[in-house]
Amino acid sequence: MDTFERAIAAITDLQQDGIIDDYAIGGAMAVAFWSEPTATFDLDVFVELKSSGPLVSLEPIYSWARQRDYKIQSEHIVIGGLPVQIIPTPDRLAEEAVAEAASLVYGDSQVRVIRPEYLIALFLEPTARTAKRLTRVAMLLELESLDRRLLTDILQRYNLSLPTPL
Amino acid sequence: MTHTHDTDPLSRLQHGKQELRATRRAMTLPEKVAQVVELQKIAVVTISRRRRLTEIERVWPLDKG
Repeated sequence: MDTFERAIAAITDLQQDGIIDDYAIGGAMAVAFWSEPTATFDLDVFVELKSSGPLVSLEPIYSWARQRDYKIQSEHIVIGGLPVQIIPTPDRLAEEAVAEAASLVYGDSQVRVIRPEYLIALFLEPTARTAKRLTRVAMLLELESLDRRLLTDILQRYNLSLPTPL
Repeated sequence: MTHTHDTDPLSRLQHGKQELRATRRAMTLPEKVAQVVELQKIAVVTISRRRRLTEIERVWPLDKG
């Protein structure tokens, strides 16, 4: 088991310990898993928190991290040297992306990863739409395995559009 | 018969890049993570020439533990 797999195991423990309902890797690492590796320094993990009140608190996660002696650095939990950013799903699109995530094989482990169609939609949200993320959108659009019908459906339902001339 | 990409330098370059990208896409997940670490090594050098690295801009210690 390498460092990355141990980080995945720790995130799975978060679920088994009842702190989160579900999780899925997003961001640049998810893009790398579906497409090509790019330079990134953290691992974005979208989570469905157990508590579903109006106020979102990451304190149960930080408390869990402190109990395990994981360092907390710039809003990241450092697991085996990997900065992991835990992101509570901010909207319905992210919730759906986590619920529909794919289980991929990493070594001897299963890892949940946001599907490329949902990654594209998340990168196209007005609050996320940066030049770097549009480059990632272009990379994902090149995938032969991309389900274009599903992508169109997601974009229509969430009122998002691909940038021209992509 | 000679293909265009065998003779035209630009086409040859594009073809080579496409092959490289296809190879990268076909890597296993652990291979992709190892490749990310290699890219981090390059990035920390280039970023540190421009500014101080942030707390999280570190190369992952990808040991087999």
